[in-house]
Amino acid sequence: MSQIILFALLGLGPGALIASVGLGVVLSYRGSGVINLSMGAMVMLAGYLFWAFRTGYFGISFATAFALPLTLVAMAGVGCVVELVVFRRLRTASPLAKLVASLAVLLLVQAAVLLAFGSTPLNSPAVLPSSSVTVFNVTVPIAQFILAGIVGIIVVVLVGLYRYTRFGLATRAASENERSALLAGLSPSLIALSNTVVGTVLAGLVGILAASVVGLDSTTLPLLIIPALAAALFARFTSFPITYLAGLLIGIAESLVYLASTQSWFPTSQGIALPGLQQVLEFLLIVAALWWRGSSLPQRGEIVEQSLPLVPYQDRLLQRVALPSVACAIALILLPFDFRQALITGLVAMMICLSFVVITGYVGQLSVMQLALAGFAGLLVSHIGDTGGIGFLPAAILGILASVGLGIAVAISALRVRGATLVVVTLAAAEAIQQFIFANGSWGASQTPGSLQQPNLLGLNLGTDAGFRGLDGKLPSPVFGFLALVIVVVLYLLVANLRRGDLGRRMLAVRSNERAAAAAGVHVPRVKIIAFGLGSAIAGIAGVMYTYDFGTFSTSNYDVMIGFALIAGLYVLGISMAQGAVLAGLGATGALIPLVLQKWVLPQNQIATYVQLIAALGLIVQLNLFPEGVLPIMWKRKQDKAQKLERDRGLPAADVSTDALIPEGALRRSNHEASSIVDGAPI
Amino acid sequence: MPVLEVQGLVAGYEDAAVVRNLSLTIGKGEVVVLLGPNGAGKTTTLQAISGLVQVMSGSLRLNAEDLMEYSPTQRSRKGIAHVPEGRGIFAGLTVAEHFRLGYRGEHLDADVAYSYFPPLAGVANRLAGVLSGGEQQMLAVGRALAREPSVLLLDELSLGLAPLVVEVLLPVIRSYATESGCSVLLVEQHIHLALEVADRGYLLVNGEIQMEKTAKELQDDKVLIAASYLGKSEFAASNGNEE
Amino acid sequence: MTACPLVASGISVRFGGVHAVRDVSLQVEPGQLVGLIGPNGAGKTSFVDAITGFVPSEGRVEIDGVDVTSARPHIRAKHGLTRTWQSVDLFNDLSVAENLAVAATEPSWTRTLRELVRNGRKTAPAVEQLMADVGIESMADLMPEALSEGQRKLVGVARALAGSPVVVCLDEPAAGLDTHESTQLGVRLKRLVDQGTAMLLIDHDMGFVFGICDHIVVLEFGVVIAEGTPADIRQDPGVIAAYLGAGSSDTSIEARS
Repeated sequence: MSQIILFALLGLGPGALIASVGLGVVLSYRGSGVINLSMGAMVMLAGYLFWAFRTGYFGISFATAFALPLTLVAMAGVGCVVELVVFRRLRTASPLAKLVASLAVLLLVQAAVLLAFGSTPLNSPAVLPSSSVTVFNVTVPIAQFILAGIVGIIVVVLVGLYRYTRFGLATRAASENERSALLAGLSPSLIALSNTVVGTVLAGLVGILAASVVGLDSTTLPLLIIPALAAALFARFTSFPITYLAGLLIGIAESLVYLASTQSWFPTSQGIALPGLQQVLEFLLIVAALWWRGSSLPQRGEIVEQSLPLVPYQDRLLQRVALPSVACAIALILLPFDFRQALITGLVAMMICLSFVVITGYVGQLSVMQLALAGFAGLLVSHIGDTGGIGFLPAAILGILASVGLGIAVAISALRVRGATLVVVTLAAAEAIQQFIFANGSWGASQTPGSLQQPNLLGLNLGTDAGFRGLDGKLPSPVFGFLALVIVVVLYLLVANLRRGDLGRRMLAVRSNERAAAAAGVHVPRVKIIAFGLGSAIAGIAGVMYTYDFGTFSTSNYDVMIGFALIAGLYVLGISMAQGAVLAGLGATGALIPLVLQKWVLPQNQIATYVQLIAALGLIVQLNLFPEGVLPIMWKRKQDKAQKLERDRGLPAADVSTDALIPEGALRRSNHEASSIVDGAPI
Repeated sequence: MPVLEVQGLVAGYEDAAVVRNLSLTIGKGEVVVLLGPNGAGKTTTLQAISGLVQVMSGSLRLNAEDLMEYSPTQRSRKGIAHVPEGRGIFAGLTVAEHFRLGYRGEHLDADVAYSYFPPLAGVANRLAGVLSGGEQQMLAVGRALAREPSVLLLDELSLGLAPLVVEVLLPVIRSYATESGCSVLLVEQHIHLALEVADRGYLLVNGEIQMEKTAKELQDDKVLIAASYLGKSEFAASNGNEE
Repeated sequence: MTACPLVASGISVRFGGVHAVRDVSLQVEPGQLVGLIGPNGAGKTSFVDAITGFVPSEGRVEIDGVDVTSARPHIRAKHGLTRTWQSVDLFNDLSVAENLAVAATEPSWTRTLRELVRNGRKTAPAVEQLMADVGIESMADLMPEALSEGQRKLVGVARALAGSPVVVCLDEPAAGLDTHESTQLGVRLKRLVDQGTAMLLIDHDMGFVFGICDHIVVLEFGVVIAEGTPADIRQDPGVIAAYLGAGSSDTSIEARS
């Protein structure tokens, strides 16, 4: 019994930290309508900055009394920059664009921390007293109580601020109806800025205090966003006290799960307690919160221009594909082995990207679990495709089906929620799959390298060890590359052609306007589920190919952050076009472009971090300057030019009668109205 | 000298001007009503003045100061209070909180609102979202009065309200204008009620001013107005879109 | 005996403290074009939102004799009740023909599988026919952003008509159209009704409504204040008062001619 109390109390500190990130999320949402995925990264950044100021990492070391306020000022500055540079221009953008922008901030901050401080977890200097107190006959570090107390006080202050001050009233008013707030003389931009800064500083403060309790780790801290999102969801992104209580309870529950895992009755796997139950708990909590609160999430009354990346209708798909395919096949033969390997890895990454094109590009839903689903299929294949296993095709098909099943299961759990909130579920699912399945001793990545039977079809070896070895005669065999190429071409045609058929039309209808789609007889949830099924199948194929590509299943290939970086790169290039997937695949970790950069441009190590940094910066630039993505905007310019050319020649545009007035480059009204309002808003 | 002076206003959206070459003035303490059929551009005119809609050309002056370069927020702070169609109140705030909600340095005098609309005082601590339609409209107007604006723009106060409520609201606005010297520009579909309280009126058809007369003259000319309201057949149709 | 295309009985809608629609009953007979008019804010759109399933409401809705009271919007659409919006929510990423195709095509697995490998560009004959009927065939391949407001309205109407509905609710289809366009629209709507699609038409423009409707229902403050033929409504003093404000009833609408 006393153990239960002890561990419950030990959960207070982490719980307070979760709560503070949750408070940051709520502040951000109320202030600017962004579900800010980067709040966990802000905790990490503050922790590292404080460590650096204290230990003299930047040259001068400060005492806590100076380092603490200095860090908070720096965090306020970071909050300002993020709001002004990243979110300000996106005020009227779609929720998807805002979400992706917060992803960019997360990637950027993490990459910066990794480059500046390295990836080894650090011991942060303690700020809180290290003494202990005894309550209920158990001795607990007093820091746990202080942390929970401080966050509690912050909540009381925030509640008072929102209820009684002008700032609070203005925030509540602006988040309910932005237009009326403008008419009342309020400045929604300033309100958004203030809330983001308050949220960032607050998360930073608690991050500094808690760093000595939970440790400084650049991979785990950003993912605090997952339990924090659960807490914020329970609070409907509105209530501070509920966020606080939910955060504390999640911390306590996770601590108790840890306690349980030390008990003899706890299920084990190869003698080690089952891992990843905390993440499964977080996932289940988020699903529960969505079912309970999802339909009543507050709709912000902001002025939204629902402009999403363009999805052009493309003709002559086969002709478009032919030349690049031949070039790729020749490259597979000619390139030296390391480039060949990178090209093959790139081909597989293209498949993953194609699955994002279906779900995010066509249906407008952001799923960050595609990489995890790929991993799930790959893992299954690594087990059942073993020597003496069931062989290539059955194993691959089973793997793909498993991926589809898991993907659809997660999608169904999120159907109650409209709009971009789906990302929350997929994020928690991705991390749960990673920790609970991949990291498991028995069913996880346990297989001994080299024992995987390479793909073999009708007696033909299609694997990386096939007889034909390309010009340099080294592994991997181009034959496996051909296999990957054929699959990519088929999937590419399928995804590009999808846009032209009935199902694709319904997907785009759902993306444009769920309400109007329903009125046109479209079953909106079914279309979303089909998209998830299709996307998961494509991801599953990619996972199977990854496993054969590397000859083994490796957990690190499926890290959530790698998935984020892939989405970022794809979004920059054009998440709504299959071509975008091809280019983004080449830039994926381990693919051709990073290899070139690594060989000749950037430092050898940390190439993945640099790629992450480039993708994040690219995304921020792209979202601000050409929100439609590089390829769609190029496509559009080409179309406009062709049209103009035709008109200049005095030819009527095809099939357009003269009485149909077509304003050149006509904008939709709402866009224009929205942007003209925001452009003039004072700070 | 007029408080608000609009000259040659062309406003609308990217490809379509909803209001064309519109000029109007409002003097101190004057109540002016903007009449016209649906889609004539009345709401767009108000939105152009408060900055919610893009102005393509023309000039806007408040007490001789050019407003064109100012954002909606800044225009509001210069003394333009716009009560939009659909009220523009905040359902999640209480009535009393509406009067504490101001920009930095702004002080709203709740007593002004309560004295013109006594029923509001009785519901001061209730959320605006649960008030009746009439109370919500009183709150919207009351909050605008409490800001002590120099120009008050009122869009369709009668929207979804019983005539009784409007019959109460409009005379209150009249006496406020007279007592405080505030200039009022009113869009109202109950022509008869509006003309009873107004000094002058403009008839807007198809984005252009068709006539400007005193309220008295317009009252006598009701047939013309009625015709312009009830169909576009007589008058060139409206290209605008107010919804 | 054919069933009534639309029977809505006792429809009430509340938003917070506001009672937007109060116990409104209305039916559209086969081959009828019914006008629903009333001043701004009278509850016309809320009524259509309610019967098409987009806002929670009390009351009962039957389409062609089938009770759809608790069905979701897309099920009501499948039973033949479609609608347009004032804001013309076209699918911005789809061409005009594709917009119509979404509503006209019954989803089928075999088609989906067939189209995975084949180009599905060919516009269905039904869609071609409909575009011709509404007069938008010249815009078939244009994207919505390239259309004028009036053209967008027409496409919205056409989309509601795709998929052969039993009854269509049109929310201000003529707003934003010029006189010529709205007269043309009226003629086309009339022809479509004669071909068998019943319609419920909301519009502010009484001239437009009087010109084409068989039967008119007038709403004010969420309740029906008058109902009858255009000739009856024209004479109704209550309607004139609703439009022009109390006290104007001495001015008959007829006075304008």
